[in-house]
Amino acid sequence: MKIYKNFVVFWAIFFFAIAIIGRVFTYKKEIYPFFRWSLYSKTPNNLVFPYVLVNKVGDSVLPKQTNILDLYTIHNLGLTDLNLMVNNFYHDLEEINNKDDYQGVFLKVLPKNSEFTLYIKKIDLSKEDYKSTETHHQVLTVKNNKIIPFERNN
Amino acid sequence: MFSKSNEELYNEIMTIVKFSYLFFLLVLFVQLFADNHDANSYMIDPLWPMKPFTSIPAGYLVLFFQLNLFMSFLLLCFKPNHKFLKVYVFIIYFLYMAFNNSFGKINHGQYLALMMLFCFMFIPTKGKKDYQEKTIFTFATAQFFLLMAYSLTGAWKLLWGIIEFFTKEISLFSPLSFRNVIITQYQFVEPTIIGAWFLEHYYIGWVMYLTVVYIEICSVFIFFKPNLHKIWGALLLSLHLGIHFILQVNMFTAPLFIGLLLIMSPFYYKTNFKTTLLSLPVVFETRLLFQKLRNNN
Repeated sequence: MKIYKNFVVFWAIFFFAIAIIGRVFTYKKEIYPFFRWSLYSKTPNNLVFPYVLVNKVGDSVLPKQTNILDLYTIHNLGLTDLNLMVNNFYHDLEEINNKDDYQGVFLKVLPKNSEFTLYIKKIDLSKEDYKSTETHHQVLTVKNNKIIPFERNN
Repeated sequence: MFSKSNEELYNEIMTIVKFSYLFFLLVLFVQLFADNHDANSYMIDPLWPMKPFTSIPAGYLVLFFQLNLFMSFLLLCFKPNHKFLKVYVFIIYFLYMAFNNSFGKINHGQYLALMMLFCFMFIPTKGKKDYQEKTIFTFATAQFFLLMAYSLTGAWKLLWGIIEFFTKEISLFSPLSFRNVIITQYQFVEPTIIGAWFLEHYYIGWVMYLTVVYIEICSVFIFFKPNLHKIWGALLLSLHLGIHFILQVNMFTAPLFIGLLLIMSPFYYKTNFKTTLLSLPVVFETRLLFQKLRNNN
């Protein structure tokens, strides 16, 4: 009976401990299924929104550049999930100098030999008229499973 | 805390538990349509529980999980307190969630369901020593964790709000905060009618956003105020409806468990309008503070 009475306290301490360890020490920032429940906790100030436009899926050239989020029948990934994966792809690459060192999963989302370009949209959300601050920049291209930074591509 | 007898509470809880497995069955049917893996696709980023199964095609894994869960939940509808079935269904559901989150990103929508199955495992079988009290404590624990999840969401918003107030131009305390959340979300989802309206009338959106933070932060305190269980359940459901209408984010299982654990709360007792209003978090504490100050004087 004592265990049942104190269960909520023990379990809450255990849960928080694992959630914090997961947040601090793991790449995914959590150890499944212990989550710190920090949804929408930060207020966006300067928006840097990465997006991927695809030219080629496997060996098939697309008639026009298509946003990866619209290729659901190819990757079968949900909109929110894939958007966060694009975001992680951009931020992971920002942290490494040699892009060939990238070890993440994003290159597995589309079939081999696919070609796509990563762009970022920047918006200053601290301004009331945020629309006038919008700019777009090309970051890199992926060809034959190789990451080619924009500077080297041009 | 309890206004009813243990016998009464136990019977109500067991009815809720029985119905919860039926709800799990319904959730499973919704997921049948969402999982479109075939025999040629594999997990691209398996979570730790799925590491031993990386070489098995995703289509076969989905089939295994869904058939097993269908059979288990169906049997639990008839035998809601069968020890082996409860443990088995938790393990399979745990693995199924790990599988669903092994494609690059962890989606937290189903975590509450997992937490509930975990708690229900500890409900003792009839006839065990103190089985009624133990069942009541276990059910209360499930309620606590549901409410704690919402409190944490609110607490992080408040914490980051305070940090950003001193370090950035726009924080939770700026009227532009909710507008900025909507703009960020609309980079990858189509704007909704209500969301577009809030972009224009962001002051109103901000006030609602602060109300949401209040509801979230105070959730865990509601655990100790059974007369507010149903009201808070309704507020949390409204919160999810608002999130859907404005941000197009769906956590379709969360409302189900809010319904089972709070709207149907066996601990609930009715109080009149004035008492209910005065027991609201912050209102109650403020009143208590003023009463103490008055008594000291």
